[in-house]
Amino acid sequence: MNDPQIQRFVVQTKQRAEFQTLVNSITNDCWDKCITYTISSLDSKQERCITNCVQRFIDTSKMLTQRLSEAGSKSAQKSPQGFGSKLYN
Amino acid sequence: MSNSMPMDNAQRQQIMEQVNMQVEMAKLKQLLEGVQDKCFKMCVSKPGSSLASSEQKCLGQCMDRYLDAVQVVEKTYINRLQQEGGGASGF
Repeated sequence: MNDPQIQRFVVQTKQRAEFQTLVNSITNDCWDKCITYTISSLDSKQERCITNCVQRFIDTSKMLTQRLSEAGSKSAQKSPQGFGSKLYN
Repeated sequence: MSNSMPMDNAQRQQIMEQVNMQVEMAKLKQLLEGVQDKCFKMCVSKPGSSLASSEQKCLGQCMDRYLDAVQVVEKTYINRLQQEGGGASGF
């Protein structure tokens, strides 16, 4: 479909749906780590735990992504046309 | 859909509304699955012949806290993305 307005809409909608799924999945992980009882509101300890949990989840994701790309560029440097060499031209 | 006739605005609008509705439904479905999983575990530890009133009360409260938790996650995640100055980068 070549309609630019629809194409833009599809890209945005896809991002929105992916974000929803990610938030849901992080919520489930962090709920297991942080919520062992419920009262009439989230208490400050639970809220802090969830906030830390999300931050550390993102740290973890970034660290692993970086490690993986380093491992990728190391193996690329071994080949003469690897992208590692292009970086230092 | 595979023909190359351009869509008119009403058709576009209709498609976008339908898709938005489907995204909302998917969101609700995910929320419900999460609440069901977490709150059944938390509140119905020894299933009896019916849902006891204490279990119902627990389920209601658990659902409210689950929705709070989703909001905290969403807010924290968005704040972090904004601090790092990239739109939806990195994930």
